[in-house]
Amino acid sequence: MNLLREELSWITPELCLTLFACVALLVDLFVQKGRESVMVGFFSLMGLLATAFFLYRQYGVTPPAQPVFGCMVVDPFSTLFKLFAVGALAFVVLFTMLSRQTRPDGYGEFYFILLCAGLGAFFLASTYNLLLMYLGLELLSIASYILAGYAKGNRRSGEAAMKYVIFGAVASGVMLYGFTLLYGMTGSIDLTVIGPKLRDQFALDHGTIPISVATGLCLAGFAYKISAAPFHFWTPDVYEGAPTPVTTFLAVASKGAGFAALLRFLQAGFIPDRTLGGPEAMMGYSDKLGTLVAVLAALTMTLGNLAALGQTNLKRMLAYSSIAHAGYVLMGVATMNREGFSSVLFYLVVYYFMNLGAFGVVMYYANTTGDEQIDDLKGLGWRSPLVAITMVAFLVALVGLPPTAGFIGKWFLFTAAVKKGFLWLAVVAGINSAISLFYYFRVARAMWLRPEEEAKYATVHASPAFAALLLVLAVGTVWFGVGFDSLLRYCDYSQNLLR
Amino acid sequence: MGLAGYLIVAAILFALGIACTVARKNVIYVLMGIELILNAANLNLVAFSRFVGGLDGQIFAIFSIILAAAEAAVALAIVLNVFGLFDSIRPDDPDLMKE
Amino acid sequence: MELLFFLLFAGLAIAGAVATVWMRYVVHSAFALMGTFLGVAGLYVLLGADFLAITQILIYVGGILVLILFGIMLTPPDRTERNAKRVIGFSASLVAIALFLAVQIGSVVRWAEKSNLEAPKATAAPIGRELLRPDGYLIPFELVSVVLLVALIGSVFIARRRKAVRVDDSSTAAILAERGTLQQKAGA
Repeated sequence: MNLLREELSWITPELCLTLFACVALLVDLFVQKGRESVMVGFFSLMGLLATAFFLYRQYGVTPPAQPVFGCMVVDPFSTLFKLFAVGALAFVVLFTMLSRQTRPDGYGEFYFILLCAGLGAFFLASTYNLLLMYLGLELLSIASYILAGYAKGNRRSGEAAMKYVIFGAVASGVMLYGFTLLYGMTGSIDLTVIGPKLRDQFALDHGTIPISVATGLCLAGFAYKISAAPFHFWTPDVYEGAPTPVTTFLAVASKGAGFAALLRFLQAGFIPDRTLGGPEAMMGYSDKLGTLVAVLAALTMTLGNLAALGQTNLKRMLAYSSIAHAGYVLMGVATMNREGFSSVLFYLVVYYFMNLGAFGVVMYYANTTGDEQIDDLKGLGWRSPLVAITMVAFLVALVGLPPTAGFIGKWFLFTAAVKKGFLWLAVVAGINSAISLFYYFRVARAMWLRPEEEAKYATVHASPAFAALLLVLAVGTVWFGVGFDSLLRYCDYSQNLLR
Repeated sequence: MGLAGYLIVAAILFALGIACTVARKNVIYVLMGIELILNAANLNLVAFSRFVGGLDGQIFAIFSIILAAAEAAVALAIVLNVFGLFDSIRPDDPDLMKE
Repeated sequence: MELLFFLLFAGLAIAGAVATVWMRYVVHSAFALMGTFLGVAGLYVLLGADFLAITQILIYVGGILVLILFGIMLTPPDRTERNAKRVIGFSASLVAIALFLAVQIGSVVRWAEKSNLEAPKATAAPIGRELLRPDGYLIPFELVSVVLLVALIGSVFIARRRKAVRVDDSSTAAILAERGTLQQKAGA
């Protein structure tokens, strides 16, 4: 009994989030009509704050890896990603409260599903167990399908939900099939058992074709979640059609959780411990897998950037840009070593700030004008300088120029790739960054380099709350470009304790 | 019948499921293709479970059946909503957003 | 004898799947899919998974298939979408690849031979105990209940009839206006 209580204490954040999600559903019934969005939103924020508090308490005392209930693990890596998810959710909740796009009814359901999606991300980040990984992924996906279609009367939202559910269900089915093959080859559904078995026995006895098939099928599911090529087709339509707060959630929290699971999957299952030595076949296999991921990374960033060039809709352009960024991050994954993985963590934190900010500006703009076209931004810089200045900060970071965090993040990714010997990949990524300058610059040009008289809309005032949110994000974007030491140490620490 | 027989049946179901999702246009077909894929995965799990020993595979299959039901319910709700908005359920048809 | 049953059930499953992909009418495909579900349930019985076989029939045939039939009922028939060449091409090539890989995997995965497998036992009780054992499947079991709650609430919210048609973008407005005039004409 005591043992059970101790193990339960390790999953307090999860329990707390579930509790608040369920109560949010009920709060909706009891608050005054017309005030649901604000009241339920505040309640959800309180829940997220409480969850963050429990997570913070865990970070200090976590042993390297605390197994919980035989299928979960609490370690600094999972805590980092959980904090990441909670932070992203908090911003999504705030955006929803400030947005006019979401429906005037069904707020209780919206926040409930949003918090449960966060719960899915929690489990995805903290398990080596294939079953729990699949469950977490499905919880996150099912909740995301519903959220994408949440603006029910809106045709674009409906279309987004349908495309998302079709792609998502096929991809997760394919991944499940891959998981079953891994189980069949090793007789276990625990990655910490699967990894050694694959490396010690299977690769020796049978060559790598069966492993390649299984891994390839599994990677399809992950690639879909992080919207990497060749499973990125759903991204632009879904990001454009879903309500903007939901798009923010998909671009930041969902993608982050996908990367967390991918890193854990590769680290536990496919990276041989070089200090111990191991069969040559498996060493070679890990490198081959790295090369495959590198090719996917190059493909993803190139496709994303080239498609982004021609876009006229701001939200759709950011969707392609988020595909391109998945490519940059995959560059760190392709190294298949600790340095690369730690640069992935660092870049994801940076990505969090700049993408939340950029989508926040889009939402603000669409809210006040009902318009998402890039050309119609002209003159905005003179009319609403605060918003435009923060937007420029986010854009500079997205390109990856100093002095923002985007530069430092890319720097680490590039060095990790070059050290591993992927010089060609770094060159491709460099060219891509240069291409991305064009379309990000178009937005800045529209805002600042057109005279005030051409402005399509009169001054659009950001509410003080919204301006404060954007400022926080912009300060974060610039701050981590200068004072990145502590964050980097944090990422290294999390990464090195990963099994 | 040995393990290989079951694996082959599962692989055929899997391939036909993928074919069904790719080659047919109607969304209902895509959903049926997804069910075929999940059935193939479950058959794999149960077959391995029998030959590996232990119940892990069977329990995994139970969870996967539950999730298939949940996913089918959500997918159909979304499809019906889209049909109400567009009068069409071919995934290629509704394309407000293509350039 | 067992081989005979294996061939019977495997044949049922594969024939059902082929018919599902091939049939011109979506209702026929749905009933062919039932054949696959039943065939797979039969294979589960041969594999000694009695509880799972019943679950398969209850949930797949009794639940998911009925859902799909509802979906078919509530949407119009679409007889022009099948492109026979496309269907045959995709099916044949994918099945060929899958067969090759399955033979590869099947030939290297050697756990136990048929002869030394122990006789299957009833699985319902051990599965139930395993699902509620803290170090077993307690956490997945609880998590899946959250998934079901999300799916339940979400699909009810999405499928619930709208109180009033909300016009959110101009194209919807245009279509609604068009429909309105058509109805007026019909009425007149």
